[in-house]
Amino acid sequence: MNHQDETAAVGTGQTSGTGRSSIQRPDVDPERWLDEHGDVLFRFAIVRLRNREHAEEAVQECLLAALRAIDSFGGRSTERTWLVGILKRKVFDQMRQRSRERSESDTVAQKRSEQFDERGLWRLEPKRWSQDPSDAMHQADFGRVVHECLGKLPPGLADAIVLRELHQLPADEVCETLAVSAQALWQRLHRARLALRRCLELNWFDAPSRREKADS
Amino acid sequence: MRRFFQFLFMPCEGYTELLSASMDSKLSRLDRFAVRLHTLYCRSCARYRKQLIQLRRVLRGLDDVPPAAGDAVLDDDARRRMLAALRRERP
Repeated sequence: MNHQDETAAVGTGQTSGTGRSSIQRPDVDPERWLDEHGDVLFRFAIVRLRNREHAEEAVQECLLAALRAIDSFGGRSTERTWLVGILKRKVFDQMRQRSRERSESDTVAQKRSEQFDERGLWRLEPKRWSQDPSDAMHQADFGRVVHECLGKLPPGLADAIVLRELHQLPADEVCETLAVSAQALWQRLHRARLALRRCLELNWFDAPSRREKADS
Repeated sequence: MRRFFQFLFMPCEGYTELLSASMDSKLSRLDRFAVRLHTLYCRSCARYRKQLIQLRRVLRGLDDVPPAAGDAVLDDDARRRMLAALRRERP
């Protein structure tokens, strides 16, 4: 790495402020941003986008936007909170853009769930779970299963459930963010819940006796 | 009246749709009544309802659920690419 950007780091007069916590205006040093917040930002993005490249793109756009909008950082929040706020908008923008590019038929491809027979009765009845899954949340194995199950959903369903549950956006705001109708959103959330429930059951609760691993 | 009974005895798939909808908005009084009645005798749908609530708790806490090891950190290549882009923006 060369040092040609050292002058750029002067910015706010807090030139060598690495020892200070980030309550104040950040000195404009994107390299430090990457060092201090890169992994956190990346993880935020990949949990929501489920794709390395997309997540990297979002983080890069976030940092570029932060650089351009450095004056908007008022020091009311920590630097990290400020960056995560920008990243969140970049992630939502990506979701919206991809949502526009997908046709509805891609997302709601198979109209009926295989979990019901033609009369609409359970074909694969929900089993009793031996444990409340939120008790397992911090286990690495469980984490892998949850993220895999989300990753197996059609992206339109996964985006909808992430915005609705993880971000706890009201339904109308999810519709707005993804540019879909309320009717389409109900369907997506319903299908996402059916599939996630089933996937957790197969790959976590039934795991010791599982026959096929990658069946959602 | 006939429509009402058809509704009341709709198959489980319809009730799972209502149960999902109930997670996102308040159901009408009639829908709530129908769901309550149905889950009184349908063990599978009662279980489904309970598991949807558990699922919600997991999804709300997704940021604390450990990701796959390779997805936890930004790799060096990506870091270098980003730094280069940032320097182009503000040399």
